[in-house]
Amino acid sequence: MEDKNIVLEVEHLKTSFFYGKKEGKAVDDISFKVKKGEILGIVGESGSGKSVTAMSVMKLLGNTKGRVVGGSINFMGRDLLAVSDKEMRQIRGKHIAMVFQEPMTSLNPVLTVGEQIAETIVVHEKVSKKEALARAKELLDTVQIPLAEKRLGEYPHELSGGMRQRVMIAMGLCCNPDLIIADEPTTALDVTIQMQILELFKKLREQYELSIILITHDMGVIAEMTDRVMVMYAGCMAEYGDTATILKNPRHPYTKALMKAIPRLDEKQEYLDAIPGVIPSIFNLPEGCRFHPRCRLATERCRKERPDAFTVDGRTVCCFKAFEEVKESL
Amino acid sequence: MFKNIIHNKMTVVGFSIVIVIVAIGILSPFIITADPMEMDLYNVAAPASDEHIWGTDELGRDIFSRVISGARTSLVIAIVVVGIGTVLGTLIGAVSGYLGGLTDSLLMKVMDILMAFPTILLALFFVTIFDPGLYSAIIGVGLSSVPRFARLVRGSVMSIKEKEYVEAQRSAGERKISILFRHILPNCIGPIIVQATLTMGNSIITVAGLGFLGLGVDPGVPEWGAMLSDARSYLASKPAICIYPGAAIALAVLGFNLLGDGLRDALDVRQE
Repeated sequence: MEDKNIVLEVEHLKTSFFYGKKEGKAVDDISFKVKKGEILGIVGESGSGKSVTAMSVMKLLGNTKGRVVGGSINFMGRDLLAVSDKEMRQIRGKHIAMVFQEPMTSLNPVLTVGEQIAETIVVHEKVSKKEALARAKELLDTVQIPLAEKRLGEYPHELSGGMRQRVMIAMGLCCNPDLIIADEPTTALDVTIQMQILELFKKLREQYELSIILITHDMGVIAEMTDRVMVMYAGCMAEYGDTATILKNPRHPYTKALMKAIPRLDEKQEYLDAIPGVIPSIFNLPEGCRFHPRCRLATERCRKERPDAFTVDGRTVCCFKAFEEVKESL
Repeated sequence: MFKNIIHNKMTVVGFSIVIVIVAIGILSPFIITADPMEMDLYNVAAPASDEHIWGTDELGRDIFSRVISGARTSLVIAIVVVGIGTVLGTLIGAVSGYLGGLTDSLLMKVMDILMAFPTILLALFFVTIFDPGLYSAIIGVGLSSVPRFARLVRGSVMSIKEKEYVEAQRSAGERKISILFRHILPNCIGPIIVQATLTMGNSIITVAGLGFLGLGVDPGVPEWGAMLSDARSYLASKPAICIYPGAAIALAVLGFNLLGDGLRDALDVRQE
């Protein structure tokens, strides 16, 4: 039964990078769904495969040594892994848009803001340049850029970081996409601007019933913004489910550790509870559960076997321990 | 950027020289005092006088008028050479840098082979297989400037194609060809301009060199290199005939090189 409300369904996605004979499993067996009007958060440390997951969905790995090696990506009833490059180009920008991390470098320095937005419109729709520019102005209004008319003729270096990120979002919105993938859209911005941009995303979601995949490493952003969340670690899914449930009661030791590593305002803390060790390189992954070298609960089994995804009450956890606990409580 | 250029005095000097030479090249018919081709065998190698302000050459032609007319010949040649180099080099470099892989290796191997031959040898090669004359010489010199442009543009394209705004365009569904020509190449324009300016100077020298070897322009046509060549047997007795065209070559090359260096300093420092 295909659910009409599901915009994107990724199943058992595996993406690897190949350097000579070495294979680096950047994303290994990830499954998630995004419903219409839903914000899915993907959270994890640097190098946990968040961005690679996004690039795999966009099929933008062509320029790297990376390649999707397994699984399926289903976008509104179409298998993205099977569509041709030409079709994919039409999907990109028109149906799935992407907002990048660095607003400072994501705009072409030699073209004006108006030209860049208009160009994306012209690529996907049969409109004249003039109409496209008029649309660009409306879009700048939508993303709440003051003096939109004037900004259209300005170059990226004349805008502030927050303003540029708004322009990027406007570019993303220009063809009324169904899904926006925002790869750490607020990481490079300061906190007040961060909040404004996030508020903007929320508003747009309500206004257009947009689905958004929000990639971040900020648990605060996850709590504030998302409906569902997927915690990633070393290319694997650690935990996936409703944001509220997971944040309130994390099951995976990694999620738990992440939550503990957030500084709290309501308690006096001498030290922050950091997770010992570093994330493993994708070319040198530990056997068994990938988190075991840093996990306080790791047992012999964790070192040898990789835990399967285990789903209970609509939440998925990849950990033997989580499984045991639930079993005990049953 | 303009301020940076003005700041450097040598660049201003170079720029002024280039402007003057270009102006002379354009306005030469109005500046000359005599027909540069007209001989006066009763008045050969005459010293400077009211009638011939720089004197006459070994065939009694007015040196001043010939040097002034030569500016146009040299400039046109240099512009065509640089045109060939820039257009072909940019295209090859852009395709090579953007596509990478086998295309890149093949194109760059061809460029390396071209680069292995000295400019003058390549020009001689073209002059020999086609008919000896200006066009073959220009094509030869032009082609030999292609590899440098190609290498340069390839490098720039390779670094710019990794920039986030290119990735952003890709994620917006832009076609490869328009990403390359609309988003990547305009960002490489700085180094191309610098290389073009420096090549202008070089090609003036090379073409003068070919003229000196008698492989450039038709006999009689005022061209600095050929003038120098024709007059060289009088170098000991009547040095003036050689000095003027020689100085013109030196000055033009100096102007373009100073301008090129200045532009490089002004454009290379990335604004970010």
